[in-house]
Amino acid sequence: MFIKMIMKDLKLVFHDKEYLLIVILMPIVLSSILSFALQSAFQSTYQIDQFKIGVVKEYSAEESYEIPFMEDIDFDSDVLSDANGDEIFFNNFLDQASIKEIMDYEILTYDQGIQKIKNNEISALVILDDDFSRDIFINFVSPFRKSINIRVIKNQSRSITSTIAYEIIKGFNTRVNQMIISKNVLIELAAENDLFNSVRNIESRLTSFNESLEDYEVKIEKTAIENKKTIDSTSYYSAAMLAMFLLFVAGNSSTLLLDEKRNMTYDRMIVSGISKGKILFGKYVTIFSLVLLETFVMIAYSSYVLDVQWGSSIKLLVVVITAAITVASFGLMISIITFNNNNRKLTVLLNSVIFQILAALGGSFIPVEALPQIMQKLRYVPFNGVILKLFLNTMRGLTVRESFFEFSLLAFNTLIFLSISYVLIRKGDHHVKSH
Amino acid sequence: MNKLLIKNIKKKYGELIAVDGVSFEIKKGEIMGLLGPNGAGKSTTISMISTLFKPDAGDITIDDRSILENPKEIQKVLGVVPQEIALYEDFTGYENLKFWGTAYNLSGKVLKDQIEKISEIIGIKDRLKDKVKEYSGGMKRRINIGAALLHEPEILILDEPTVGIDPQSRNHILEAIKDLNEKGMTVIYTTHYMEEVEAICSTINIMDEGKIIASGTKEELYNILSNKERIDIVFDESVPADIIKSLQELSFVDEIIANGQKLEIITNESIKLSSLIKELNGYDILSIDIKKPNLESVFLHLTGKELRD
Repeated sequence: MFIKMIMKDLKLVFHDKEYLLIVILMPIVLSSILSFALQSAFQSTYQIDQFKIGVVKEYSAEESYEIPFMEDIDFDSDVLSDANGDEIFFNNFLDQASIKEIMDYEILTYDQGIQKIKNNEISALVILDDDFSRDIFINFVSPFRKSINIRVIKNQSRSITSTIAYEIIKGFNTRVNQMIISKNVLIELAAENDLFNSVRNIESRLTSFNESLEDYEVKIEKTAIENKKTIDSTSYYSAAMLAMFLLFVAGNSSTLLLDEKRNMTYDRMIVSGISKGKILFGKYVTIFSLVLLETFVMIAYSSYVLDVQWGSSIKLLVVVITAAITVASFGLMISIITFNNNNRKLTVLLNSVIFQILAALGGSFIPVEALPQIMQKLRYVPFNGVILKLFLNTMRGLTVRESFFEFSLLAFNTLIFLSISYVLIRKGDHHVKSH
Repeated sequence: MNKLLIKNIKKKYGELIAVDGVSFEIKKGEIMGLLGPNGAGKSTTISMISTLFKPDAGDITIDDRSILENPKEIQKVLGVVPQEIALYEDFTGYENLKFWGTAYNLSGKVLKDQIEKISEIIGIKDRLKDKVKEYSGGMKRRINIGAALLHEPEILILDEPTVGIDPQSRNHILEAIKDLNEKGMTVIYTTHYMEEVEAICSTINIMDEGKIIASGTKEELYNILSNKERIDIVFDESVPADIIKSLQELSFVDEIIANGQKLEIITNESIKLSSLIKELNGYDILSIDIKKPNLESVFLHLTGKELRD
């Protein structure tokens, strides 16, 4: 009987052309339009609030450096201070007001940095290797050139800000190179004019060192954590539209119970011995099935037509089932409110206003990272935002464990929705109970 | 089921007392008519019998077992036909019957055979493949009844099953109910059409304002009026004042009510028509109508208002 009841509900839904249009066709159409229309915007820069990066200092700033062939030179303390890696990279560069305005930093260990990327707390991790300070010193106070190793690890969850961080560090590289070139030109000019006797035929020595030191360029390594994939506009909007239209599945399904009440089939089921619990559970499973159906259609369409990679099938299945449980719980809660109030006002309000707001907060229209900081903090308030994050995590290749926070949030939402549903059922129950 | 007993049940909706201490019993094989005007409390009463609502007070027992304690007991043997068309209009007649059959745990061949049998009884066999929304009002009423018959209930409750339908469908429904009763089904039939109750019910309970105001067989209810008859006389002009006085002197006249051209005479024994005609001789009279006691007049006598008020 239970299966028959669900089949009946699904059949009723499929008779409703408007429902099918909204729930099945609309996400396909919208995701296609948005992904193509916003493709370029997705790759360009957005107005972005200040973001944070981590910096790992693998070198010791206290070291004193000896430069080959220049061991006996006693550098002036001002020179030592000016050519210090910390001074150049932090004080003169990262602490500049113009950079601070968009990018702040904190000193971390490598492990702390990786963890913060995983927790999505920083946009990138800049690693200054153990020779960084020494190499800076050599490049600035000697005629020699030495390659400087800076690695940038990008947070793929923050594709935009991590790219900005990468470009800023690259800018540092360019600036340092310009200074080194200027310095070398000056040294060459000085040597030609015999102004460097005090540094003992430095030109000839420099030449031999220049031959042995290859590639003085600051080396920037662009690495993605554990091969996490980047998200393009098509992938993003496929997931975003799916997450948004799951709200509409819940909203539009919420009138199924009210319809049963209005055409008296609800009462007829009760007197035929079908308990209220069974009827409600039937509606729950119906909404759950509709979520699965919508998700299947959307994933199939985006995979085959838009070539979207949704990530591991197993992980995706876990996300889809978890999302379906939460959406069905939400749908059940609205169904009961609608049923108890005996009108469609709530459904109309949800579909026409509230879902649009939730979708915007959850990042279905504009990626959350491109929104102001305060809006970013709200991304986890609506459960559709959490579902979208889970889909994106799966696309990026994050493990289920790495998405533990999002799964916990969905579980919490489900618990809240079911608890409210239970209270509302008790409140509106006037029927004779079975013992 | 041998006896369904309703004991002093009450139901309030806020301040409104819908059912106020209703008691009656139904024995196996009866067609019990619950008669009363709209808003009398009939639907609320049968909603409590059918376990849809719990009474605020009182009890309902089936063979001395309370259905409030064990609603499943009665649900198994009960078929309920609601006043509204409680069907899925987008489904075909067959799909509806199939779903409601499964609601009563019928399946497979048994369900298929029952659908065939019931659709024949209610006369919609040829239209089973059509969607219910394409049916006429009468056909919807019939399939509404059919959905309650699939599990062959011992007790069938019908709540105003003939509202708004054509005479042909009404007759079909009434005949079908009589046939089912002859095969042993107990029927509770609520209506505000007294002629339907007179046509099919063996016992009658008359309800008004949440209370049972009279109960018994048709004959027992007619006796409430003590063989009173009513004579309506319509004059060509306003009722002459002198005729009222002369009619009051007739021995069989109990009460006279004059209203415009119309004069109503309530008798307390059989009319002596010759005496009446003698008194009316010389007046311009348009019509004389002698009315025998019926449930309408019983209701009027008990409540002072007409059933269709």
